[in-house]
Amino acid sequence: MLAKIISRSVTGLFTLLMVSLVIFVSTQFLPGDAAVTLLGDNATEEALSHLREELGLNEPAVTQYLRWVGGIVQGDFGVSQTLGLPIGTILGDRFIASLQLTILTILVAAIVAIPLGVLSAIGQGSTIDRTVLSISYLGISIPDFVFGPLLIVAFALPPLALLPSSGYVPLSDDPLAWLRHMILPVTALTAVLTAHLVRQTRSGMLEVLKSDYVRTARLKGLPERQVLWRHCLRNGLATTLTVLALDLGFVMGSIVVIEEVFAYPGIGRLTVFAIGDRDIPLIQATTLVIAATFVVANILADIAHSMLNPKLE
Amino acid sequence: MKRGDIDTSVWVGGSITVFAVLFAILGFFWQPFDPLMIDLTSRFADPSLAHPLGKDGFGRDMLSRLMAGAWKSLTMGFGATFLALSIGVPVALFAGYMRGWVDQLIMRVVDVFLSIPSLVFALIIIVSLGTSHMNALIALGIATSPRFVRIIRTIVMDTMAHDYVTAARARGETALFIQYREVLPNIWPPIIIEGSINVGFALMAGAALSYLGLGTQPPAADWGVLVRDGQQAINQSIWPLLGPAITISIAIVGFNLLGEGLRDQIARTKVHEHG
Repeated sequence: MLAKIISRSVTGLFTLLMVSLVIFVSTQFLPGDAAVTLLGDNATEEALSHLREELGLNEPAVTQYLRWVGGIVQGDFGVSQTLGLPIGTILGDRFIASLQLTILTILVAAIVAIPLGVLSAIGQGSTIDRTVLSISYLGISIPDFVFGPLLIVAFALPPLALLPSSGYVPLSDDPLAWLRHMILPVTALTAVLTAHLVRQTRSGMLEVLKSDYVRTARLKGLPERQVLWRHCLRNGLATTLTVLALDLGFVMGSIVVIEEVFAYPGIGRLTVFAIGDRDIPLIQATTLVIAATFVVANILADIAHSMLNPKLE
Repeated sequence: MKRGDIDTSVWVGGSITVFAVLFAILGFFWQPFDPLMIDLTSRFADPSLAHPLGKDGFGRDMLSRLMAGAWKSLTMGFGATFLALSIGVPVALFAGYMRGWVDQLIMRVVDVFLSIPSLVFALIIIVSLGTSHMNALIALGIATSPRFVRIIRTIVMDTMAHDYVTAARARGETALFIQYREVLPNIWPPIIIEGSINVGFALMAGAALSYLGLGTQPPAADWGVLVRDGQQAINQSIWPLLGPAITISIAIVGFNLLGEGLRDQIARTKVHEHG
């Protein structure tokens, strides 16, 4: 198991390095002069050359990249051009805010989707199964940026006006206000994920239910309950975990959109802001953090998967 | 094939898809009113016979804007998928044909790209291209192509094991001939199915980019821009949001039903063939 953890971490680190290279190459060397883009066409030559110096644009590409990565390793993400602040100081709070959204979304989706998927598979073709399938179909087809505004219309506007339509309150400030601000964004994020997870859990369970060892367990005369819990769920869950880890990539993209819908001050909204203002160091930092989260989550899921299912070794 | 052999989902999904495409083509040539015509005397007008979906905050006819936007959104879905396939299929053919270290190298690169969430990958590309409808389309096409490489490469490898490929090799055919004349013609069905599933996703992601202000730029509008404008107006009227919200959802249901239905149907046909 330790060897598995080490080898997975090493490949993960390599992937991260390559991802950072992709991000750097596609954002650093833009067509046109980055200094002119930032300061406008009327900037003096003096100001331009000063900025080029400051951004390190005169140095060779490899040096620029190495200095960027080297800084990040030491926790230095550079300085935001539009905000004039060290990016490290902005990133922390935003990342924690987004992480709360992500974790709540995954928890809610798993808690709702796994039992529904299992029930659906056990009663294949039943009314429950058909209802769950049709609703999940709607879930995967309604885009997040459509579902979010519709939730606002339904629950944040009169006549109901139950929940705030936007914003964020830190958990430590006021737990109730925190929860009230989380409900709508998490619901919007959960919809697609739950729908997909239900479908995957269902088909994973159906496969397990048809497998030879489940038939053997039944023929041995084990009580149905034990067959389901001990034999099916464990394997079904391993599949669900893999699907969940892969879906996380979709959730990370969705978070960018949903944070914008609900004006939620997370890393996704920061990314959109940075792109709108062409704040290159900020874009590089936020996209790298999002991609890194996805890579790390996949490593964790992989390790958890082999713990749940040691036979794969 | 008799109509009775076709799944309900393929039938329903196909009908919605055809209708959406016709709606977009019609919207490209003709709208009941000029979608950009501002009339501040009728801001947020409720639906009426002349304006079945009401009017937006500038008094523009929502149905006309939705029809013009359909063309923008559907070209995004189909265009990005076409670009992703144009990149993905040749790379997959090459990797699957070469095998060995070339294939391994290509797949490692694909893995790196796949470890960036596709919407975020599209955002990164948009940074270097700039924001416009066409650039969002290109960014989405590039961002979704690694997934095609991975899926189609597996299919290519299976196909390479067939006798007719071995025969072509024995005849001394060139690598290009084998890839494009022997393998490609035999893997069209799965390519089309994966493509049609991707159209729904690309349409959705493209509209999301426009919603974020990074795709189609106003005053032109695709369905994503319309949803954003609609959300900003919800305190005055919900009609500018409802029209585009319902339309885009139905269109995506249609594309998903068609793509997945076709996939299921082919999988079932294969089971029948083999046993």
